[in-house]
Formats: sequence, structure tokens, C-alpha cells
Amino acid sequence: MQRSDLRDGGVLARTELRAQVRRIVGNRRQLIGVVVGMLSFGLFFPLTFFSPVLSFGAGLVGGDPPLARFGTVLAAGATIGLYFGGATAINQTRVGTVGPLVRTSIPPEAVVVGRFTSETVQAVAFAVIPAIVLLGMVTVGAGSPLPALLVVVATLPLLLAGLLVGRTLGASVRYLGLLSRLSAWGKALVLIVVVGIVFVGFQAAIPALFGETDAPSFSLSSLLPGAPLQAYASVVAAPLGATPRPLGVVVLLGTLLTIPVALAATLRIEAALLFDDRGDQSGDQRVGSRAVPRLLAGTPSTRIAWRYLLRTRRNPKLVSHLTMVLFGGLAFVGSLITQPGLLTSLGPGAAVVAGATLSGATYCLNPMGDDRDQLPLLLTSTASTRHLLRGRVLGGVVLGSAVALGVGVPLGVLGDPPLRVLGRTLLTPVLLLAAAGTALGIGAVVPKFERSEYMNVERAHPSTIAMLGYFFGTLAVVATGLVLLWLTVDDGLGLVLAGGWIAYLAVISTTGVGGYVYAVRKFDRLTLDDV
Amino acid sequence: MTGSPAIATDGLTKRYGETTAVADLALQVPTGVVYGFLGPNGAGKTTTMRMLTGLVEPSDGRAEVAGIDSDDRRRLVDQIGLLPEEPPLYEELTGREQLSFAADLRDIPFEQVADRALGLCDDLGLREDLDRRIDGYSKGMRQKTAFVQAVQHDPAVVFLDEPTSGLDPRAAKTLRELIVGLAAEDTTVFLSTHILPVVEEIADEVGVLHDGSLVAEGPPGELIGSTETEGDADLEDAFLALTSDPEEVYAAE
Repeated sequence: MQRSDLRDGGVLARTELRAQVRRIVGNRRQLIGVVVGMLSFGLFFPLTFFSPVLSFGAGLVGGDPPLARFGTVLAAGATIGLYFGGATAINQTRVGTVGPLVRTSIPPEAVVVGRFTSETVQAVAFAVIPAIVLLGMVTVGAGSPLPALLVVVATLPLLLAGLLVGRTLGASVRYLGLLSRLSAWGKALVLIVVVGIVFVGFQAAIPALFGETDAPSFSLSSLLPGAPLQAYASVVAAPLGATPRPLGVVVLLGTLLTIPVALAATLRIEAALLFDDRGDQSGDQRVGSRAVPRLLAGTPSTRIAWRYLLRTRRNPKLVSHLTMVLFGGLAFVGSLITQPGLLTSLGPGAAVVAGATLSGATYCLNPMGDDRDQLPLLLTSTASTRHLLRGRVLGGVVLGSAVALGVGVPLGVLGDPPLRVLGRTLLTPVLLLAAAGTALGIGAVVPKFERSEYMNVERAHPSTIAMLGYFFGTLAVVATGLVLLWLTVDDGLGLVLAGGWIAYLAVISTTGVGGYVYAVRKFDRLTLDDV
Repeated sequence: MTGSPAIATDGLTKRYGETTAVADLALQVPTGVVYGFLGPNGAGKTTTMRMLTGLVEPSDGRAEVAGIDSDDRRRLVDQIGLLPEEPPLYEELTGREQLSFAADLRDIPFEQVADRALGLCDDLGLREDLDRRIDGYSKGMRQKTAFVQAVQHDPAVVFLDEPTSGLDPRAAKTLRELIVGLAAEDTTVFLSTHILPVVEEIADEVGVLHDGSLVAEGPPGELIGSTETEGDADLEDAFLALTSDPEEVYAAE
């Protein structure tokens, strides 16, 4: 890499950052979201560590620095670096926002430097306020700014090394994805399995770390063999009275060496990625036309439902917004590891919750925003959007049924009395339809037509607030129905329960049908002026 | 060609805040003609097409297409077909699936329009690629698919925005012939394009929009003759004369 590459990369980074700032400042909603997010995270997150950080600051000037806790701080710095580096490398489109003009105007190394700088600054910007607050708390605890300054100096090399190693790993994952012959769904499944293992692993590890109480049973940094970060802390905290350990010097030198090595590696991999015009290796393209199956060929709505399912089968990115549901499912899987009995006790109900969530969330939470680019076709072809909306409902209900009935019924047969299984099977279609109708209503109240990037997919994703509201609302409503069913099967249908059922069914049918009717009315009047 | 207007507008206006995109537009487009709709970038052509197809609401005035008020979308959609500048296609579907989907949106079984759709695909050389996914299509293939999608249900009025964009010369020629053929079947074609020789070749009537206002209308020959152009003038000369700003003319002189 030459000096001119650094200069060109700097220019590119400044331009991208300026463009990003203008984009945010120019959109009041986004600006408020960023400011509120940064302030609330920046101020509230450090408060959760108020007492330990103050005592850490006090300990640093006590003549015997708390190396275990210092090691945890350093481990956090390296982990944050790894995460941001990996996430920014994976979460970028192949040519980024720089486009072909820059790609063909300056050397690839300069492009990589520019993008790395710009994306890292954007990612790390969220950590600046909490870092300042935490360092302020260390200063208050120590009664002097010098220990806080020492913490910064000690953490920065680990943070930078983490960023570069994370970036190299992320770029390698992208490159492997490019070379892979796996189908799009195959890659998605690999990602889900990897994320699932990490997520469930953490969930299973938390009780081991914290025991039954809130207090950590041992230090995070001591998880690494030989406690290398504590050794590193002993070297950097020597001016405060710590006794330096030789391993600490090795770790320091290793960290400093990692920085240029990881930089060279990421430059090489990302530069190669930048100019790799390899086509799709997966074979996803080699498909013929698929006729609508007889089961779904009956009406325009069912045929439209089939096309949505077909499109999803071919492109999992269309349902990338469902990762929130995935994390909910993974949380349940994590619980199963510590309590396997939950599979048959809570499993059938959890399957109904997941199915109801899927039936609305898959295609109904942003029905017209999803089809933003096709609106000129949709609005000049359909006398009413009802066929389209019904198609979305049906598509979602098909997927939801596969989970709610396909998983829930076999699990129920294993652990529940037959009457409860029968009741749940009868209630499920009602819940799925009501959920989908309600989701349509939510999608009509807060449609999103602006494209945004989420999980490395740029499209008009449903509103985050709408998704969260729908997910938790569905959980509460379905759980209520299942409790009613449980009580009815176990105790019989008394007067109170009958009243409960009437109220319950009235509420879910009103929101379901009301949501559908409202969506049809609203979208029948939709024009491009609203987009 | 018959005398009753396929498209009629009266005082059609569209404002975006302080900006007037289309001002007091009065059009009378007879049935069964190819109407070339011309204008410089930003003149208001796309906005006009969007108002005529019910995609945006006029700020003032009204428009009728095939005798139906343009804000009566429920009835209007049966009578129109639209090829916008960006073909509205689903990347994950094949061409055949896309055409079938478009028919379903209109509540028409694809079998009912298949002969016409596949015939058009044959004419445009698209038939062999119909079972390939659209995300593998070239720009020209997308344009052809979107054209077939717009006309497969035999609408009374077709709106085409730059229909020959991205097409090779042979396909562009075929498309011009198809457009003329549509008009011969009594379909009215409302054609917006910057390619003036195309309009000169196939349009029966031409309207020129400038700064949101209709500055000239009539058959191409009449338009060419009516402008103060020298020698062997063509539609391009007429267009430039009609759409030049007074300041530009003054500066040129």
C-alpha cells in the first residue's frame, strides 16, 4: 500500500461520512431516532455498571490495581472490536455505496481503506458516548484522570486489533459465500445454525457464569487459558503499582503485531472481493417456470399466495425481517438445553405462537411497501387490492400452519391429553387468520416505503415498532387463548369461561377482520403521492 | 380511428408544494391513434401519465380515459395497460410466471390471455427465455416482458413510457410495428419517448409539453410545418423550436 492510497482512502471516507450525516440530518425521523438511540444507550447503558466502575476506578489508584476486572475491560474492548469489524465486513453490499465510479478511479486498496474507515467510524460512533461516560465514572472513582487515560491507552490496541481481525474474518465469510455452491436458502440455513449455536451457547453459559445470583461467579477475562489479558493489564498498569508479568509483554507485542498483519489480510481479501465479478455459483438461477399446484389454483388470491411462497422459496432475503422471530425461537431452544421437559410441556403452545406470528409477519406487516417497485403494475391492474392482500394472508397462513400444526400437533400428541390437542388444533386456524388480518391492519397504519438495510438486505422492511408490537401482541393474545383452552379442557366450560371465550373470540375476530377491511380500504385509495 | 376521445382532460393540474408539475392541461386523444407525448426532461410527462392512469391524484381539473374518470380506479384498470419507465417486475419469478401473475391481478385466468401474450413474446423473440428467472434478464428482455404484461389483456388504452429503452435495433423495430398494430386494432397508444424519429414514424398525433403546459398539438407533419424552421425540417427541429426558453433563443441570437 502506498501513501497515496491512504490519502485517497481518507478522501473517500470523508465523502461517505459527509453523505451519511447529510442523509440522517435531512430525514427528521431518522435524525430523532439516531439522537434518541445514541443518548439513551450512551447514558443508560453505563449506569447499569455504575457501582463496579466506580470501585474499579478507586482500585486503580489503591496501589494494587484489580487486574481481573481490568482484564474484563480489555476483553470487552477486543470483543467490541471483533464484533464491529465482523459486522461491518459482512453487512456491506459488494460494491458498497462507493459505486463503480470510485471503484475504477482509485486503487482497490484505497477503496478498502476508505470503506473500512467510514464504516468503522459509523459503527463505533454509537460506542463513543457510553465510553466517555464510563471513563468519566472511572475518573470519579479514581479521583484523577490519569487511570482513565491509562485504560484508554491499554484498550485502544486491543480494540483496533479486534476491529481488523473481525474485518478479516467477516471478509473471509463473504468470500466463502461467494465461492460457495450452496443455494440462497442453504447459506441462510448455515447462518441460522451458526448464529443459533452462538446464541444458544451464550444462553446456556450464562447460568455457569452468574450462578443463581446476579453477581458474577468468576471474571470474564479468566475464561481465556493463562489469563493473558490480566497479564497484559499487569504490564499497562505497572505505573499504578502492578507487577508486570512476562506473558503480558508477549500479549502486548502480539497485539501490536496483529494490527499490520490483519490489515494486510483484510486489504488483500476485500480488494479481491471488490473486483470479483463471479456470478451466482449456487445454481439458483437454473429453474423453470412452476405451475400453480392444484391445491392453490382455485382463485386469484390462492394463485397470488403461491407466487409469494415461490418467490420466498427462491429468495430468502424477502423474509429477512423474520430474524426477530428466529431469535425468539432460539431463546426457546436455549431454554430446552437446560430444561428438556419444556419440549412437550411448552413446545406445542410455543409452536402455535410461532405459527401465528409467522402467518402475519411473513407477508402482511408491510404489504404494499414490500411491493414498492411494482406499485405501478399493482395499482393499474387491480380493481381492488383485496386479491393481493388475501393472497398475502393465505401465503402467511400456509407457512404459519406448517409450524403451528406441523410441529405443534406431533409435540402435543407426545405430552398432552387428546382433548387438549384437538382443541388447540381447532383454535389454531382461527388464531392464524386473526393474526394475519391484524398484521395487515398494522401494515396499513404504518406502511414503510423507504428502503433501509437490515440483516444485509436493502428493501422496504416493515416498521420496527410495528414488528415489535405485533410480535409481543401475538405472544400475549395467543397465550391467552391457550390458557382459556387449557382451563376449558381441564375444568369444563363454566359461565365465566364461556364469557371469557366470547370476549376473546370477539376481540381477535374484530382485530383480524377489522385489520383486513381497513387495509383494503386504505390501499384501494393508495397513490404514488403517498409513497 | 374513430372520433370519440380515448383520453380527454380538462384543466388537469398537478402541484407539488410550490412547484406546478402540470398546469391546466387540456388533451383530446382520439380512439385508435398513436399519440406521441413529447417534452424535455422535467416537463411533466410522467406526472401526466400517472394522473391519467390513476397513480397520482390531480390537484385540479379532471381526466377521462376510455370514458372513465381517472379517479375511478376500480373501473379504469380494466381499460388500461401501463409500461412505466422502470419495468415493474418481480426478480424471483420467471417471465411466464410474471405474465401469469399480472393476469391474476386482473382476475383473468392466464389461459384466457395466453395466446395473445405468447404471440407477442414470439414477435419480440422472448419465447425461449420465458422460463428463465427475471433476475437473469437483460434490460431489453425486461422491457419486452413489461410490454407484453401491459398489453396482454387487450386494453382500450395503453400508456408506454420510453418503450424502446434498452432494446436492440431489431427488437425496437418489432416493437414499433407492434405499437402500430395495436392502434390498427383500435387500441389507443399514449407514447412518451425522447426518441423523436420513433414518434415521427409511428405517431398519428403529437403533443408537446413544456414546463407543465401543452405548447403544441397535432399530426407530426403539421407540427413540423407550423414551426419556423429552415429547409428540410423534421420533428426534432420542431421540438427544439417549441421547447426552447426565450432566454436561450435570445442568447443564441
